[in-house]
Amino acid sequence: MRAMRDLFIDGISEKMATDDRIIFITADCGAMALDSLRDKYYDRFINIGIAEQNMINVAVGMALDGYAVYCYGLSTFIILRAYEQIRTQLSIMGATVPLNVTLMGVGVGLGYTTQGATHHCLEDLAIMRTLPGIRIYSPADGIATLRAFEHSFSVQTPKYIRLDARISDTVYPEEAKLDFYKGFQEVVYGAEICFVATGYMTHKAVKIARDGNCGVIDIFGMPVDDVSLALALRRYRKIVTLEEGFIGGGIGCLVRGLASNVETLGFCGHTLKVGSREYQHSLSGMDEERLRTYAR
Amino acid sequence: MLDDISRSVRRQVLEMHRRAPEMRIASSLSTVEIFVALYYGPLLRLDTYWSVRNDIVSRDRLIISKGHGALSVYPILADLGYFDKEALEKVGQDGCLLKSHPDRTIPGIETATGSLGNGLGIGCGMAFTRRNSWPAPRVYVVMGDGEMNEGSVWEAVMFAAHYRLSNIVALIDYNSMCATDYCYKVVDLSPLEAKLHAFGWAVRSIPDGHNADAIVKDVITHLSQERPNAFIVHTIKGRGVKALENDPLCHVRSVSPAQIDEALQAL
Repeated sequence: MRAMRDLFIDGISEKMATDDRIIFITADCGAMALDSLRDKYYDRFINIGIAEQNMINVAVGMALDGYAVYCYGLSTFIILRAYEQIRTQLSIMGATVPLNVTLMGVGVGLGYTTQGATHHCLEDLAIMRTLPGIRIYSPADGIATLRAFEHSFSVQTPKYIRLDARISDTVYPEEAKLDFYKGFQEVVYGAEICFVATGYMTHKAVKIARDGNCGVIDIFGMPVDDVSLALALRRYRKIVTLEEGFIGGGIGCLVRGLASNVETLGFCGHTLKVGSREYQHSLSGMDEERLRTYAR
Repeated sequence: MLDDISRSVRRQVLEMHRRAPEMRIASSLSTVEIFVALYYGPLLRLDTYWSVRNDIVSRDRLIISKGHGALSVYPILADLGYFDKEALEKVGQDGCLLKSHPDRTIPGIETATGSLGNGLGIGCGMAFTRRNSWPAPRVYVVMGDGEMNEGSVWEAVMFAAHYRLSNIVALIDYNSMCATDYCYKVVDLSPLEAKLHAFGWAVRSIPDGHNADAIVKDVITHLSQERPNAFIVHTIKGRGVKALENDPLCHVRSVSPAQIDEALQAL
């Protein structure tokens, strides 16, 4: 099984063979699939160095000339360090001219486990959801990543793809079709309690729900179709949102606005202790044992 | 000839300020001759297109990185037909076209600026993709000296030098003041020429930044084909208004109708 970023990069590389308007920029961040892309398309590959703000600005300059630009780096750094450029160039200017810039952020949530809080990305959903005009993709597995890539290629305006750092199990069957404008799928049909999650936490929710009778809704595209999501949630007596993110502005916040009786689980403070994902979750009430108490 | 145009642009900037005193002008009064040189020199060859690859054509572009200095571009864009002259009279009114910091809702403007430190990077992106065409279409970036405090400027400076983007031309409006004081008292930029040279750029100082003919001549004569180009254009912030010149707080000051009249008389 391949990492999500390698699947995505392979997709880009394939398109670059026939579309010479595609340019790939990395902020000194590597990936296995990147080596072959760099060798094949050296004139359309740029390692811009550890300079995320410049990366966004340069990408926008190219996009203004009609190029389709992919910007790749650690989520934490491309989203947070260059947030003002994202806001001014992609959101504000993007409201007046189509800018085909795709931000590929790897290492969302706690993907970089022992690297520490500076490499964990708990804020990105909250702050990117706030900006008008930027479509967000949050695939949970390889299949969803491939579907996200295909869909993103048809969108000529700014996008943010958030990718986990680890290789994950599958959630979706190979023939799955995902509606990115609806933005979610009820991957486990349950009764009473429904987990709502995205990315890595969807896997956790699915594992637990299948042992009980909970439902799981996976959010993979934002903005979601609010009305559809509210209707899907209405069937359940209680909603529990799970995120590797601060509960102030991400999935929990989104769902709270659409349903009543919502319990939001996630992080309230920075991840200052070092350990595995499960260990970090245990500090935040999202460990497996605790979540199983919801799945009766 | 360019002197006459400069005087006319300065006059129209003052009239815009009279109509909308909340639109600050000191930073735009220092850039008048730079924009006149660009549009009427002309340094900007806006009618010429180069085919870069397949369906992408490119032309010279201007990025007004110091967005707060863009008021002096508006009379020029109106004169060249990008929008109706009436727009200059409607400044300050609800729903008007022209704003203190330009964006792409204004015909003739390439980028949304106002947030400093970003224009050079955007220009680098444009210059990069057309660097292999010959003659390479140029990207002019008008920047402020205070703006060069921003780290993102230097990220772009390094990028341009690394890729030898000789089709980038930065015109730095060196009016020696930022918003609250003289630049040298806040974060001393000097020696700016030596710094840019050390970063791999071809640099030149233009001592009289209020002589548009001299700016045109200097730029054309000294454009490097090997390295990115920077011209440090020495100007006076608030040029043309006695009440603004030499005042380190002129960035935020409005000018009274009487002071505007005095300035118009002196032109």
